Amino acid sequence: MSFSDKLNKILIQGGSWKTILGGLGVTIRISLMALLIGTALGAIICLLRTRKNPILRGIASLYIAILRGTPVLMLLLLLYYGIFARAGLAPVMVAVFTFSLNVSAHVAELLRSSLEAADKGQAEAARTLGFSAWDTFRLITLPQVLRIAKPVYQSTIVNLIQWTSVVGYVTITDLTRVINNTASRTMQPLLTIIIGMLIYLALSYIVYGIFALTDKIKAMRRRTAA
Amino acid sequence: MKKRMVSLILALVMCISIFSVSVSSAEDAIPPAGVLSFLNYSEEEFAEASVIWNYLGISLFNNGYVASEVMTPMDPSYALQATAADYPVKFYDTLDSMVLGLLSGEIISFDIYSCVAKYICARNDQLVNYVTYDTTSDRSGFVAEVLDRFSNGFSFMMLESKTALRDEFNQAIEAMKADGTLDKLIDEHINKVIDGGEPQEIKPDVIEGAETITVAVTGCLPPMDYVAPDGTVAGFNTAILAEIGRRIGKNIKFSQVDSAGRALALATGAVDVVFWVRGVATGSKTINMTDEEFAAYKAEIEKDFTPEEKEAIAHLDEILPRVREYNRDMPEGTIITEPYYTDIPVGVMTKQLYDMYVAMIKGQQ
Repeated sequence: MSFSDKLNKILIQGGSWKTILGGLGVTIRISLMALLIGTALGAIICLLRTRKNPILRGIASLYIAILRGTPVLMLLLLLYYGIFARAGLAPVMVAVFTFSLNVSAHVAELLRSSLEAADKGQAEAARTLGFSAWDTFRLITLPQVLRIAKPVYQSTIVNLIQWTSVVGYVTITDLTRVINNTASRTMQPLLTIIIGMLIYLALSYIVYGIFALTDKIKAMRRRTAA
Repeated sequence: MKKRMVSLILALVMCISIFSVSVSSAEDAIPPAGVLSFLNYSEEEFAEASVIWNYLGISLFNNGYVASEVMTPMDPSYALQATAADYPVKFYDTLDSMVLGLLSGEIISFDIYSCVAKYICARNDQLVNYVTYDTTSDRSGFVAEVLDRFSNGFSFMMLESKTALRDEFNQAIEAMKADGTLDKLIDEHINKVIDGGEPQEIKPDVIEGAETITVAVTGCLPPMDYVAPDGTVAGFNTAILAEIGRRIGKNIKFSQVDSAGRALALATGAVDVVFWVRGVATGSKTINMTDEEFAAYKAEIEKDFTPEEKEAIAHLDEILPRVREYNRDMPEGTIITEPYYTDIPVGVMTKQLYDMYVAMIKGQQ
């Protein structure tokens, strides 16, 4: 069988490309929803983590430690087949919930360390000049925190996309599941896996590309303002 | 400075030792054969049993019940001089990881059900099915017993609380065997597909108001358990299920799940039924026998065996005394139906190795 025949069998024949796109759509959907919910939740957990109240701080620390310290697959299996087994929730919802929790722990810790790295002197100066606590945070601290957190946040997003490859365990047909089915059906496992990896790689670089684009837009705006 | 030097030297020595051990292990190691994982057997137990299976296989080859271009007639008693170390085995959870293992050289060959072997070899020109069995010609009692022990049965598994469902399935399977439906489905969904055809989409009937049975499909054992290019479930197993659903008046819903997750899916009730394969004939025939009944059954089966054949079967029973523990390779708390299909695992190797062996044998002749 020639290489083009193999590619045809894997990607084209029988509408295979539609199924692959469908699986990719599931992966993107789960990743996006988990990212949005996880980031918002992570910000809240970070807030609790930085409170003076030791109980709130302790709860947040425990939350972060458990979720960062356990494999996301185990958490997914526990939630889908255990805690939510009789809840009648769709598998995708349970997956989004699981990955949101996992992402929130990583984002909380990322934001906390970025907060600590931000220049406190500038914030103090702003307060001295009469800025309110909210304005100081919004105009002085937050931009610095976001700039420091951005590279690691990019990696968190890429990791999240890769973590979602385990959702096949809970009856979700994502990109990895489709790739596995295709490998079994065509008996071209190596080539199919390479194609799957290239799709995930493309997805990761789209993420990097979006962040690079936002950097460029910001730089252009600064030049224009100057 | 001195402490750093000592640490560095120790680290270097460790690396060299590990490297030397792994190189010498690699040089001395016999490449294993691949097998789909058993739940309750270890690789070592399987390797031990392989010594006897090899003996039995050679006996069948000498009598014309096995065809293989990479075997030559030989005295099967030589096979009994081997040990488990001569037949290392590596378990794989899925067929495509086993195929990858073969193509990467991690294993020298693998055993897989005959219909699956034919399917995969028709679609990957790097693979060759190097052993086939004649299961249709007249055979002696010994050959029949050996083929029984080699064969595996495809069944449906459910939780042990679902005996009523299991009985309904069994009745439907018996009826399908009796009226020829099963043979028709085997022809449409196995025989026509393994020769290069594509499995057809399966559309179970929808029965208003009927109970729905959810079945786990992994898609990783074509043409039995298969997902079509457009993402729909197809394959022989699903065709059988659709027919069973019609006969027992229940709706069948398919749920795709990763192979490693199906036991958990069954245990937690996420699915009602999964496909399961295990050793069949002798175990299923004798499972309900008392020890005395089994002894009488064995004596009857083996009455025409030669002393060597009796010894070989006895030896196999020593290594795997669980031929009557038919339920051994099943998760706790589950039950299975009667097999709706049986098949014998055959060997698959790379074409490169196959051509090499064939050339070697031709050169010797």
